[in-house]
Amino acid sequence: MKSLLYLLLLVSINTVAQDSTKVRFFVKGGEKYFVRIDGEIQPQTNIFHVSQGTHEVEIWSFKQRTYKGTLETGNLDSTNFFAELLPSPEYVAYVRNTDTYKRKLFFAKTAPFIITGVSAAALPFVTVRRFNKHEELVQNQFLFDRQQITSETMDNTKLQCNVVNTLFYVSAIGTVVGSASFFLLRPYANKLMPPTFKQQNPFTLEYMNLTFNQQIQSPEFGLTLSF
Amino acid sequence: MIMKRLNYLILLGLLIVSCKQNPKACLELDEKYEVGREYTLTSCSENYEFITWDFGTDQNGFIGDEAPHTFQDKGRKTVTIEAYSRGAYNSDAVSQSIRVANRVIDYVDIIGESNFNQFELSFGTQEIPFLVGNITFQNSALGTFTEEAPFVGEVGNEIRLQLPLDRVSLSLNGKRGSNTSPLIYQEVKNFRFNTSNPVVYNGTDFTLKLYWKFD
Repeated sequence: MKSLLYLLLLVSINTVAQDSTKVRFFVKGGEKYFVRIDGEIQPQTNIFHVSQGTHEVEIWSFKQRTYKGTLETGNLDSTNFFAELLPSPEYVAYVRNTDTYKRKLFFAKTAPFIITGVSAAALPFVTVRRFNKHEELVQNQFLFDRQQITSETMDNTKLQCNVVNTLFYVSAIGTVVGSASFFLLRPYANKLMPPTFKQQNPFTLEYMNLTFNQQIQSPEFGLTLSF
Repeated sequence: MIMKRLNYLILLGLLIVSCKQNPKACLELDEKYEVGREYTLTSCSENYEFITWDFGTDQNGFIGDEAPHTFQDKGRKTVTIEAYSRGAYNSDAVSQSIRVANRVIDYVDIIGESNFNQFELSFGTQEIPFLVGNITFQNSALGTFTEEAPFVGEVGNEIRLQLPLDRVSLSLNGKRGSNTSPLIYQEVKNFRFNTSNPVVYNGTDFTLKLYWKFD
């Protein structure tokens, strides 16, 4: 009697299994995605059990367009479902705007700051070196006029002096131009607004947004829940 | 706020720059220098980083605070120094004319007791001629010297007997008749290290003073 009960149970399970299909989802594009089958949002997994037949599938991932497709299971016990998510046009525009924003920010703020910093830091060293080289040049000219050093040594000293002079003027001009640009472009730089990207999850209706944090120079993610 | 700090920094920089003094070249050399002697020339310059020395000759110049130099030729020379500031962007020059000459024996004093009526003084192998009064003695001087009446023998200007810079033996012989007695016998003197004037030699019962002059 007990054995018969087990047999019936096994047969009934087998009968249920034959009515549903195990579907493994392979989704390309997007990180964490949401699946809705026949209007019902599914748990966060990539394996679903659906009844055999035709199903409307919707897949959404942040920054991507909503994928809409049809799942035909036929009589299969298990099958795979492949889908490729494409970036949403708004996200593409956001990426483009972020690049533009970063470029503008670099030229208006970062570049003048770097130029000023590097030039100002180099200036004392280059000034000392310029003084030393000019002293060397004057001394060698004195000795060269009295045939105490060769013309090669004299030419070499002149060349070194010219190099150091060039470095000095580049550093001085860099400091002045860099700091002037920094202060002149500061109002413009402060007005630059980082682009934002906001997208609503069509299944959960929560809002997710992405903006560019200029302090850490990387995107910042935000989530707004709607109840 | 930043602009205000920047202004202070610029002002501070200008103050530091304006505090820096220009170099002042100064030269206080002796009037006369001896040919062949090594000198260390010094300057009294101020606020300088380095000094260039031009000795007014065809020889090498020198860069430094003190210049070791040996003048090789007689004559008037113009020594020029130029004091440079840090970076050598400012300088100040000054020149001084000096005379480079040899030391020659001017005259000789011999003070002390002697019973010789004639003596001869020689440098190495060269005997010194004396002009005593109006009489020139080519090889030896006639005369005596006592405490009260020292012998003063002038070496004629035309002779120009140069003091050597190397070692030389000095001899003084007293004569009476045919007898010759050495008062100083081949005493080695090194005039490189003896710049006093007169050069003094203290013998037994007498002192020899050798006066020299630049010529």
